[in-house]
Parts: sequence; C-alpha cells; structure tokens
Amino acid sequence: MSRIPAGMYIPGKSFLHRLDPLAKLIGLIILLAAVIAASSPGGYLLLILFIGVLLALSGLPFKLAIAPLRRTYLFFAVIFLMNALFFADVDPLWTWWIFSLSRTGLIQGANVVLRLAIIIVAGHILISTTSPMEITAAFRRLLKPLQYINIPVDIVALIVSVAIHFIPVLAEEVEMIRKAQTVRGARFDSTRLRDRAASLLPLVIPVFVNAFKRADELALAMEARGYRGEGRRVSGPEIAFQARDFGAVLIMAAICAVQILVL
Amino acid sequence: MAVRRLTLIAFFTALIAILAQLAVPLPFSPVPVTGQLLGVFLAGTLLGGRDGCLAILAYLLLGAAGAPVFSLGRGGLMMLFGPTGGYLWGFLPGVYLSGRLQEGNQRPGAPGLLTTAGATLFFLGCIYLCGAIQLSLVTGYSASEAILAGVLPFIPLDAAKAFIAAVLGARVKKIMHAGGLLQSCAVNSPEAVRD
Repeated sequence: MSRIPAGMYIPGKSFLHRLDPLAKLIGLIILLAAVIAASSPGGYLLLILFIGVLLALSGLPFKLAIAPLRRTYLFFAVIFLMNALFFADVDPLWTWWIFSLSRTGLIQGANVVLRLAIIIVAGHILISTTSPMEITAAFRRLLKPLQYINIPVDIVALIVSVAIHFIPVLAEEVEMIRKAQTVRGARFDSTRLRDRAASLLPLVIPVFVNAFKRADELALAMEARGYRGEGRRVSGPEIAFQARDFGAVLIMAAICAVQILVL
Repeated sequence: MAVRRLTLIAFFTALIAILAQLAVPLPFSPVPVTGQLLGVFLAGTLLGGRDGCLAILAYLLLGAAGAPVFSLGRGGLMMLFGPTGGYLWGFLPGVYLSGRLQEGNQRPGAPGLLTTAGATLFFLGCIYLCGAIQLSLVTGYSASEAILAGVLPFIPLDAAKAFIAAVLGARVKKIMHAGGLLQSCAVNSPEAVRD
C-alpha cells in the first residue's frame, strides 16, 4: 500500500481534457447504459466508431489508449472460448467430449468480449484525460443531489480525505502488529486454514483498538484547531457546466437513445 | 455529526482498504481469500447502519477515483461499472440493513453472536444479489448462468468469513466497551441525544 501508483493521468490540453469532469463522468455512465443495451452488429459498430471519435478528441496516442486491451487479451480469449464451447444449445456445429461449439455460444462470446472491451477502453480514456482530484470533485458534484435524501455529501468527502491520509499510516501499523504477534507466537504463515483464521484474532483486534484510539486523538486535534463541522468548505475553484459540457452529455444521451430504440 | 464519530468512520474506511490488501493464497483456486469482506462486515457490526453506509460510500468513492483500495490493490471506475462491480455496490444496501438489524440495543455484550451472525449472512445475501444482477447485465448472462458463475462457487468461503467477522465483531465490541472507547465516540452524537 505504500507505493500508490501515480495513476494513468496524462496531462494535456485536448477537447476531452478541457471538458468538465462531471460531464465526462455522466457521459461514461450513459455510455455504459448504451453498451448494456447494445445487441446487434450495427449497435457495436456505432459504439466502436464513437470510441474512435473520443480517442481522436482526447489526443492520446492510439497505442497508449488501447494498452489495457493488450494487457488483457488472454482474459478475453478465455472468456470467448468458455462461452463458445460450453454454451448448451440444441444444434451444435461441432461436439467433442464435453465441448460443444454452437452458433449461439459464439454470438454470446463475441457479445461479452465486445462489451467488456468497449467498457474498458472508455474508462481508460476517462482516467487518462482526468486527474484523480478532478474525478473526486466530479463525484462530489454528482452526488450533491443525494443531500436531499439526507446523505451528507460534504461529510463523505471529508471522510475520503481523512481516509486517504491515514491508509499508509495504518498499513504500517498493521505490519508492525503482525511482526509483534509473530514474535509472540502467532502463526500467520501456517498452511492450515484453521490456524490462519485463528491468527486473525490477535491481528485484527489490536488493529481496531488502535484505530479507535487514533480516531479519538484526531478528533481532539481537529477540534482544538477549530473544526466545527458546519459551514462550507472550499476545495479548489468551482467549475460550472458550459455549453460544450451540455453538448457532450446530450450527444451521449442521443447515442444511447438510438441504441435502445433503433438498433 | 460529532467530530469523533466522523474520524472513526474515516479510520474504518482506511481499515477496510488495508484489510482488502491482506490476501491469503489458496492452494486450489486462483482467487485468493482477501480481508475485504471481513472489513465491510465489521463496519456493519461496529458502526451501525447509517455510519457503516458512510464508511462504505467513502471506500467506494476512493476506489472509483482510482486509489488502489479494492482487493489486491485494484481500483478505478471499471471495478464499479465492470462485470463484478455489483459485488461492490452490494456493500451499500448490505451494510445498511445489517447495521440496522444489529442496532437497537447498545448495552455491552448486545446484540448476541447469533444476531450478528444472522445479520452478516443477510449482508452477504445483499452482495450476492447485486453482484449477480450486474454480472448478468454487463455480460448478458442469464440469471441462472450468473448465479452459477458468480455466486455458488464463493458461498462456502464467504460464509466462513461472515462467521469469523461475527466472532471478531463481538470481541472487538466487548473490548471497546471495556475500554470506554465506544461510549466516548457516542457522546455528542445525535443517537446519544435521542436516547
């Protein structure tokens, strides 16, 4: 946990980079709906073309944009074969032992692989053109309406930032407690599952007790510095939707509608 | 909300993220056992419905924003919207219902192990339901295929984890009460005032 990867964000000034992160996030969610609705070759063609347009707009090098696909092609191959060979169908094209190649199986396999590939590339484009901070802020704005059903969005945002801060600290503590308990005879590396389960007790309990104590201390420190919990906190410049952001969301919605109604 | 309660929830979020990184490789399966479920089960038992929900919500947001907090150091939006995302979304209704079932009685030693274990199994059911629904939506599997591929193989181990979480939760709660830690966190909280 100490080495948090820098993320796949690639700074730039392309159209997609400048688009409001919230618009990108909403766009991605609508795109997912369109992918789930897709079922015909025409539908997939439309989606793939659209992903191509997104790639062009993002200014990312093509090789980089499809990198996640090259890492996972084996996984795709396995999924495709599993679907193609094990799909029970009335008239298989070819059977041998427990395998039966069928038309429906092939179509099902292609469906699953295409959907996953489109989702993965779309998500990768979002992550490459949007910094983690921007994504967090966009989530916060997206969840803002949840305030009306009594979900305290600002508090959740604060919880996230405190948690980010303390993950490395607590991870170190867990490691320390693990070593201390090993010295006292706990068997973390036993091959018996029962021993493993039993060894959790001396690890998890001190970890939780410590975390509860630290939470207390942190609360005291925050109150001593004047944190009262009410009022508006500001983090970075507020961004507002512009015409191009509305346009982007509308185009996504149109594609989704075409997908559901026409194709 | 009391600042103490807030920091406690934040620490719980961090703990879930850390527990998710503890992986025990299994000799017979490529999927290792991780502590992620243990962490979320304990959130329901120790934080209760509403606060458990906040901890999970923060956890999912952290992961969605790309921090490697999900099991085995994974993270990113695709974990939530991909085929297995439902198992993560399921934490939210699960922790709420399980926490609610275990609230009610705040005396030390309550609720009993049986209530906690039952609520945790209920929690697991919520996760499976959401997981199977999203699996079938994203991959186009039928309901029975989704259950066969995404639920049945995991039931024995997950049920074992639920039981371990119930035992651990009861123990930690007892120690917290003995050390006065839970009480101090409950002071100033709206629940305490209402009671």
